[in-house]
Amino acid sequence: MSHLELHGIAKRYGSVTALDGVDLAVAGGTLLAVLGPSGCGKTTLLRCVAGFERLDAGEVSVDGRAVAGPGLHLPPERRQIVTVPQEGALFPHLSVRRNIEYGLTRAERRTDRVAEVLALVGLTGYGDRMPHHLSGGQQQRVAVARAMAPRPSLILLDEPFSALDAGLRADLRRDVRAALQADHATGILVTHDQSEALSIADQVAVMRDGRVLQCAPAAEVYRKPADPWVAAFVGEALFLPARSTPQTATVSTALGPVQVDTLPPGDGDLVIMARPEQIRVTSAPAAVSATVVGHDFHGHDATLSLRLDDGTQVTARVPGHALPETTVVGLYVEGVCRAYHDHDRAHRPNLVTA
Amino acid sequence: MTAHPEATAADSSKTMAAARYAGAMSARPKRPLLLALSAVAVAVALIPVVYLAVRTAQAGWAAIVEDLGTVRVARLAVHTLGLAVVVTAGCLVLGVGAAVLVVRTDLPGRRGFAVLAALPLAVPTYIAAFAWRSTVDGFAGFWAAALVLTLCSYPYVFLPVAAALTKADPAQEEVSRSLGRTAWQTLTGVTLRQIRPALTGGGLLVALYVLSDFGAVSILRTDTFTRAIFVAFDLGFDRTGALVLAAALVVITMLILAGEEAGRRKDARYAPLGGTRRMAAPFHLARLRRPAVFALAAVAALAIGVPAVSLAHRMLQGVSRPGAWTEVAAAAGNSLWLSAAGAAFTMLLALPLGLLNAKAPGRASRLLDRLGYLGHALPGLVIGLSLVSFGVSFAYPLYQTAWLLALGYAALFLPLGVAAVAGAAAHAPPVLDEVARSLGRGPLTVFRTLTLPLTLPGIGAGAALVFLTCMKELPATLLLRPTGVDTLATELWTNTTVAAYAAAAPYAALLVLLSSLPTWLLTAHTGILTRKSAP
Repeated sequence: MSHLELHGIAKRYGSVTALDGVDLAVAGGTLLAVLGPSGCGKTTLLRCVAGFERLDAGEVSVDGRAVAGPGLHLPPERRQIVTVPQEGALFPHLSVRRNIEYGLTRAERRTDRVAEVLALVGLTGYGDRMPHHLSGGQQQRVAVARAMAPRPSLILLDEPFSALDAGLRADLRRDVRAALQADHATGILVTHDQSEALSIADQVAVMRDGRVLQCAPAAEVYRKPADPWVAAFVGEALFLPARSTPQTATVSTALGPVQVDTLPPGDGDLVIMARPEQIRVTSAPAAVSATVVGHDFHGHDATLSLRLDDGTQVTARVPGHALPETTVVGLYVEGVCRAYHDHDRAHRPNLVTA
Repeated sequence: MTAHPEATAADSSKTMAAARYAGAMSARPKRPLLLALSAVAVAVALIPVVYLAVRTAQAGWAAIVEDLGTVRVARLAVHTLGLAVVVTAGCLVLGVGAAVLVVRTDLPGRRGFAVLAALPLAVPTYIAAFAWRSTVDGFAGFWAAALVLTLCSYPYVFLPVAAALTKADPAQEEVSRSLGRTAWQTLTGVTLRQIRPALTGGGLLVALYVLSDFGAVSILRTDTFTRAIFVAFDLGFDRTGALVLAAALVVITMLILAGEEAGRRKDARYAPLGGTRRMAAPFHLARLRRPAVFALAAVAALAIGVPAVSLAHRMLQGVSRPGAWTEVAAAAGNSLWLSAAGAAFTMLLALPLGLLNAKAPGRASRLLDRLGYLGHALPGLVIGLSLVSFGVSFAYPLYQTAWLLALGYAALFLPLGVAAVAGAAAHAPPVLDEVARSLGRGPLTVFRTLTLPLTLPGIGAGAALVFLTCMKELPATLLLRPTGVDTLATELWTNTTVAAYAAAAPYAALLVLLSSLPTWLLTAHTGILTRKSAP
């Protein structure tokens, strides 16, 4: 149950800035997911925390005790911070038991800690297997068990599920989450998979170009993204131009009046962000009607492409069992949307808004 | 109006690629200790080369120009380079052909053929040359030397290529076949490119070996640099001329190394991590089965059969000599412990250099690696004479001890050890070190519990190769052995020079027999002997 704090972490490689003043805090016993596209600096962040890289600036502290900072660089073996790399990296010449014992003291090896962590990751009885006799998922479970065994201050997971197939990944993700929780372990998970980050973590930090754009509980990151880029990165996002109305919590859009949580301060054109599942489709007469121009069926749900009478394209997510039977449907927006200034979106040329 | 995360992820991909590249570069530790130890190792191995350079420089430019600018030197250069080219080409054809047949086809008796293809390593070139010469009348000259050297050296290509073929991921080949390429096109376009490091490495070893071979060219009377140097030294009239010739040989070696370096692809280094390793489905030879079996059997008959029959024939005459066995036993004992000392010392020097190559590749490690090759290309004769002079002038307590001979072996065979260590180190990638460090283990413990056990099999195979090569080494052993200590190789040489072929035969036979064991270990280590796992 240790807590980790990062203050102003910076790391440069020559002229390339990998980390540009990162502040983060992870409370004891919780899991933080660091989410970002390839090259955003998230793996460098992990390597700095683990002690494989030296900081250029900033400070890393565990339970208030600095492990890296100006003039201080504790070697990795003295930080009590354990990594689980992408490919597991089990020691190939050691059995599962010997792998897990690797980080334990002689006294700890005589306890039943190995059996305990094996049970936590669902591999009871696998102690005598060799790594090459395990499947990829099992290897990854052993890697997590090995990391938990010495009860480190912090466990760092570097995209540990990305090499596994989707079905396995969901199971393993859930089991690892449960194992970490049962052991009251504190962890940081790095991933580029937004659904992984949202589903596994207590807090999600979204990174881009070496900076943390937002760090908040998963639901908040999804519902109240700090900016349009975060909104589009953590899920499908729909942007619509909007005009303010006399009521402070409502704006007017092509889909009618829409509720927003707050308006951005200052002047400028407004745009709202809605999630496709907030666009509700109804066969009953509604204020706004639209034509169904296509759909992507996913089984559990489907994504409808719709065209409003004024030509605006929107996307709606409907349950798989409730596909509309007519091509002309009514639309309304459910719940609270997020409002931004349009120019916040304009300087992100890759945000396609049809 | 939907924004896709994938589209935004591609955002500013150039700077991301740069950042990732930079991250990957800096992820490798600098390892100053390893670098320092490697520099020391190379410095030790380079003592004979440096001595040669100093002595050559002392000779003065006038003498060098006068010695080198002759028709004879031009002829020597053409012969030496020609021999290197012909033998290397021959070894690549034989080595790759045998490796593909043994590893990737349904050839009957492939394990047996694997052993047969590796076995010529156990036959020193001077023994093979002597066997051919005493069997075939008038067997001498350029093409005779080319044949003998090719038959003796092709395992240098066969072993690494067979090992690489065994470990290569067959998925790429399957993709190539599914894209409509024939088996032959896939072999040349995908497989051989995949194993290119093994090909060039093996070819380089062969070329360098030919440049430094002394026994076979002398027995087969082919005028190359080494023979000319030996003649100059042996007659004792023209030591400076011999040193200048040796220096010219070093320059040729450096040109070959530079050429190989320039041709090497930057991204050739890769270490497959994790994943499942499947065996490739064997190619069905069908009607080619008989010709393939015949070809491999014919090569084995020429490479091993001729020396074996010839030696057996001479043995029958030789063992009847009174007192022969005690002399042979004493020489065998000397060979074993001197070679063991040489292998141990060589591996001691190779360890930091190989680890540096694998764990901190860069300009410094590449330079040290190339420098380490220099001694390997020098004739053993020059190494020997260099070290004799060095011992007399600078390290008299070492003179005429096993230490100086071990140093000679290390100077000659360092690259064999380095290649083995670097290959073995790929089994202990940096990520394992990082996990171990994060689990609270210090660098020394990590080395003892991870690096050493993971790399020891490969290092052991390298030691076996060096040991075997030391045992076969003739000229440096002749010059550097402690006084009164005769080895199998020197006894063989002494008897051969006085045409006592029968007396020489037991030494030759025992030498071949003793050399077979490390050859077997080496072959087993490549994994080409393992049975295919049941489907």
